[in-house]
Amino acid sequence: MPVKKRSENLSRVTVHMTVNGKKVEREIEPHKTLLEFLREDLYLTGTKEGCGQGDCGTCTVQVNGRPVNSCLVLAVNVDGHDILTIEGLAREGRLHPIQQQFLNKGAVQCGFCTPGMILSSKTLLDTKPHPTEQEVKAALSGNLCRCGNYKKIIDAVLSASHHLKESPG
Amino acid sequence: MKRLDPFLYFEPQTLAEAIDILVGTGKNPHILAGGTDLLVRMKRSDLRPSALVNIKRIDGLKDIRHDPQNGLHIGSMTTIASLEQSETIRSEVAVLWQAAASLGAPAIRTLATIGGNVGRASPASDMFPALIVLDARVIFEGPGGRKELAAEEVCSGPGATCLGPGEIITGFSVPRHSNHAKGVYLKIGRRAGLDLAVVGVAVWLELSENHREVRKARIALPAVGPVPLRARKTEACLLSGRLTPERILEASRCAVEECSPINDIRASAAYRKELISVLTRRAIEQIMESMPPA
Repeated sequence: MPVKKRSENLSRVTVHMTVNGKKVEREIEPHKTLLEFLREDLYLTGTKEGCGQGDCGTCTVQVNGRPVNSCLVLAVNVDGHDILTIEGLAREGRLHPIQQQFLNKGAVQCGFCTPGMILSSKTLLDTKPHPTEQEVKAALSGNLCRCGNYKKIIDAVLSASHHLKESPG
Repeated sequence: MKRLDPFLYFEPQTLAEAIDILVGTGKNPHILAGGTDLLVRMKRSDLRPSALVNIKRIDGLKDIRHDPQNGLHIGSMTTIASLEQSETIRSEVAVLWQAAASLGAPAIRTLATIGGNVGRASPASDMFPALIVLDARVIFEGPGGRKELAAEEVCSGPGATCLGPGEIITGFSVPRHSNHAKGVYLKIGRRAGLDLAVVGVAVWLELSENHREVRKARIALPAVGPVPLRARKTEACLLSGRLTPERILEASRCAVEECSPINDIRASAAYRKELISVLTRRAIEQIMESMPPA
């Protein structure tokens, strides 16, 4: 993006980002959050709003491989960054091993926390392929499940860590 | 959908530009660092900034530099996650590392910055007590140039610092410490993660060479007063003479007396006092166990 010499008010910012592997360029108003942008501009509605204030994790996405609460990120702040949402996990109709294990283990009840849980889990498994149960809990500590399905979610993540040894995603 | 009201938006390239904008723009300009507290307050309408000044483009605010002679320098825009992932931070200033690891949850830590946490000056701040017990100095720049303050002098009240208009925290300096010194940060919230401290305690002790006596003590507690509390009387309890289990108990009782926790939505004052006593004792014991008598 062009460098402004003397700082001026930026009423709209041209943002270049990659979302689920695809380049995206848009002009965005500064007060739009990344969550709003993903859902309402890109129609990627897999990422959810639960609390809107960083307390529930349903809006979790990966930015440059790190987990963030997209409800607390201004869309203009991801210029040059790589975004991964839940829609970016399946490849050619084949579920990512983490998604598959969430289904296999009954880790999906109402499904509302699921995208955020999966993104947080993926971040963990990307960096720690063989986590302990404690490490799984810590990685998911920012994701709430109001159905109370935590045990099965943790089982799914541990199971996925075994399956990922066979088919890296 | 919780949405933000529009604001003027700036991405200054230099500190000088940022300072200019902060003093020259409208009613209520605010620095945007990680945004994990700012955006929440804006969504609740607790804060209505006329402008946000995003300081991410300014160079030199993200370094972690360690020098055995001069100690540690941490840039103000260093994220809490970077602190958590830094081997330097973990080995040199374990108490700060523990505070960082306890803050929020992984997704918050990716964005939140140490400068933002300090600037927000929440009485429950995790980073402040750790910085206080490390004798850290807060470095900031503003219209009057570069200034420094001891961490414990920065909070002027709940949510308030003594920084003036246009002053921006640029970093923190931690002096070098003796090999016989260790710090610990313990925190209890309503949940094991993603919660503010109901009670926390940062303890830092420099021991004698035989590890039986305390040469220097620093104790600071979040969430028990309007600002993070430096518990000087409790520190004094630990000095002079051998550190026995009785002295440790006495210190933990002293910590309870020095604090003035309140009843609030998270816990009662009485429960907090109980926790303070337990955490203070635990923290001291952990430090002593990690440095057994020589």
